[in-house]
Amino acid sequence: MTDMKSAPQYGGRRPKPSGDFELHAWFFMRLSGLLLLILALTHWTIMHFIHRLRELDAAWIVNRYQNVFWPTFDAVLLVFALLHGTNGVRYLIDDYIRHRTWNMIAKGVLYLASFVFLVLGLIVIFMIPGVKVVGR
Amino acid sequence: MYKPREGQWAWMFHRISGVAIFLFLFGHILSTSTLVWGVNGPEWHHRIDSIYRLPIFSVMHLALFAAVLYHAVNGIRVIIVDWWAHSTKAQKPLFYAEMVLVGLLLIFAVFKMVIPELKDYAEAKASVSVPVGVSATQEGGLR
Repeated sequence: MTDMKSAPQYGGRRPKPSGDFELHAWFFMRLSGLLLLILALTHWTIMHFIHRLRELDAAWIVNRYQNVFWPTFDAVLLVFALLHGTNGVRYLIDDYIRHRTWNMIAKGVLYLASFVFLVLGLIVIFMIPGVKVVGR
Repeated sequence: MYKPREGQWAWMFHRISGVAIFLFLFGHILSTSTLVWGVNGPEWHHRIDSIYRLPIFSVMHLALFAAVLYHAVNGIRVIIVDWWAHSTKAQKPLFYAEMVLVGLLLIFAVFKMVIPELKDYAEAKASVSVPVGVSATQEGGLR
């Protein structure tokens, strides 16, 4: 696939090679991919095959999170999914946005969005066990 | 004109499904976050939940599952091709085997997920017209 090619050339100066970074990124995509295959499909199987959508209300989710295993499971899934996705989109930006400034802007937006959603996701995961579900 | 072959379709689908899953992930985090929006959080979550139970979302669930499955299975194929040079001779059968596997799992999902979800929706809708009360919402139906 495209992953192994060297960094694309933009107008002007070639970006300074960053050591083994691309090789590590390539390896990370394989490892995190395998991990996500297990985690994401387990998540899907539990949420949509074992249980049904109609069961998954706020009370059900809060109750499920009382066992520390599930917030931890979801946090690992969240972190690896976001990292894997962010690096994947980085490949696309390098492939399709060749203009140096726009390339940097696109990556800046990508990294910022990923960081914000990573923090938001982790906050949500660790706040859910304390949510009070009244009524129903 | 250049005609793309299996490998290039596989590569193109991998990118498209990857971006789709990534965008979904952002939406998923955002809608789940309603749970912690203060005291009314669970109420917001319930409202969004009722939208997710519309039939159109059962179809979207299947589309999302297709994207995740394809990305997962094709990722395995990429790893196989990376680490086992000989497999490049079997590119075409690998690609078609992958499509068959994804197809079979999607058929399973239609019976195990899409149809039950549609039935639940129909039931919840029918029970809304019956005497007003909490019972419909307790079952997770519409409000």
